[in-house]
Amino acid sequence: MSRKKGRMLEVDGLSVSYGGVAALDGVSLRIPDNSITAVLGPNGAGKSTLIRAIAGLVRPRAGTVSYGRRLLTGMSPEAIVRLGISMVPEGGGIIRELTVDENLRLAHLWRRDRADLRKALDEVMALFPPLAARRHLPANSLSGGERQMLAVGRALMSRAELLLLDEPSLGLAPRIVSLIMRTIHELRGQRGLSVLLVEQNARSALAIADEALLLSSGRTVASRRAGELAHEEELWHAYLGY
Amino acid sequence: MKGLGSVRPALLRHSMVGLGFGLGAALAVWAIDPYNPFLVYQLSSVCYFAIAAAGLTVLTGLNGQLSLGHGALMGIGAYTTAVVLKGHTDLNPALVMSAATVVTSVASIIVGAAAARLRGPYLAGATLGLAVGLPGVAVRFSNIFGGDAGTSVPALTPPDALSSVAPEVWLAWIGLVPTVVTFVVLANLVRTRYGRDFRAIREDEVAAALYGIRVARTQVVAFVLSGACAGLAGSLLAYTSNLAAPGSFPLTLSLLLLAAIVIGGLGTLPGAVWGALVVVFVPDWIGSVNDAVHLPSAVRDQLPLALFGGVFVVAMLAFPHGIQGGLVRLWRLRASRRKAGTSEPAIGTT
Repeated sequence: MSRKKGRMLEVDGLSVSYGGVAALDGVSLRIPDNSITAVLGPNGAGKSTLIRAIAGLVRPRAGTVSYGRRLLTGMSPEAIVRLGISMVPEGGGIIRELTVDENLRLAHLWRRDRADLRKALDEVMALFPPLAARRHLPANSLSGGERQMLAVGRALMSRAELLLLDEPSLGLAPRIVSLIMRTIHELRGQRGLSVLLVEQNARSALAIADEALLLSSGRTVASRRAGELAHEEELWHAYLGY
Repeated sequence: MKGLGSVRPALLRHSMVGLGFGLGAALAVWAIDPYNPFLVYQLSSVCYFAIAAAGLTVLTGLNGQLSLGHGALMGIGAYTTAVVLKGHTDLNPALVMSAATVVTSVASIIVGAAAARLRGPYLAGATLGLAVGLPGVAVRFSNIFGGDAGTSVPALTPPDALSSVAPEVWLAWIGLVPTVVTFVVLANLVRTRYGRDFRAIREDEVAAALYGIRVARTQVVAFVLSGACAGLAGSLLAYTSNLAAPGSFPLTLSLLLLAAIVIGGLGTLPGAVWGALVVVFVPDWIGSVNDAVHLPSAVRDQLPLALFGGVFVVAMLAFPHGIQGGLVRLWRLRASRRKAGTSEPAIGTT
């Protein structure tokens, strides 16, 4: 699979409002190739709105999103997926009545490349062995952790270069959370993926992130190296509440 | 095409099953004709109801788009048939039915494109408008479509070599061909990527889009597919009743189709057949029961519809997933009982 290296996601002055209420207010962000960026912040900070706007699920009121030389603003979600940006929504967004295998195939079908389909399936099964054991069971029979594995696996099936993950740790046991985080970190290292990681669970997100963006009430409060943010006590107390 | 490799065995299997079923039905039709010609005529009606219901169950059951306008789409197929035959009475039915299917498909592209932008009650409302409005078009342009009286369609007659075959048997035989073709095509299509795309969109449009599925385009494909079935069914209806008239395509036809797929088992192709059998035969049985008991005319006229509704309510209480759902459950129950019986024989004997 040819992987076009060096594409950067650039978000510039993005504003989104729901029915006149601003959810995101002039947020800018750059995700360089092969990096993990964590987006942190309290409830209602606009984290999910940011990720949804990048994926094309909500239309911004102002500002632009571009990827490499392509302007994403105004494109449909399915067109953005086909550019190599795959979003895993909160809860996984998997098709529950289809089997694990069907879910994974479905995410690859538009590529129309049967040789690569086999390869991609094998890679996901190797990455998440529990999925291989449940391959022909419907997705609604999976546990929460397995479901999240399937969701990430599905995103990988589309051969994405940039993963947008919305709260992948939500409602999962700590052991599963660390497994998921470790996998995300490995993917960055082995495949050169870039990741935008929206998380409430700030500590585990910062443990694997390179960059961090702290949002509050739709605005950027801080944008730092992840290691630096982890040590700024005041910001932690004010916005993350530990 | 690399993709055909995995599809071909299923296609072959479905074709053989379809062909076998078709031949069996054709033989049965021929055998029962001397005793009950009306039953044979009713089986022709089952054919067009089954075709239309199969298309609708793919659209509504698998893709999640509710259409209250498929009766009107059947009307487009029927009127295409009548208009085409007006000039060329002897045209091959296969050609005429193809023309009706194509014309209705084109109409469905327009309706489907609108439908892909509408959801739930709004989609229902728009297609309802189609069902209510379209018969009016036939009345308005009466010079082409024959107004309220409609346009007659010449009856199908068997070729000279088969002149001993009764006309209604010939009609039923002709009807079986598009029915088998439709079911074989649909059974294969729902197993391909389109079937999975349809189901994914029905379950969660946002998730489907994030899988890279072109949601709007796929919804239009589903609508055109089911519209094509409705057009084909309408053409067969015109041949069966020898008429294309506004009165043949009332709103109740659209509702009856919807009732058929629900009672048969939403989203399942066998369910479309069960549903077609129910909507053709149950009103007739109710009618004969009604005639047998001597009631005042005011009651007698209203009773069949009430009973028909009652049958539906009771059936849905007994089979919440339709007839097909109920049969599948019975089958599984029997299979699991048999399994339990063989693995633990000691319990039964003591």
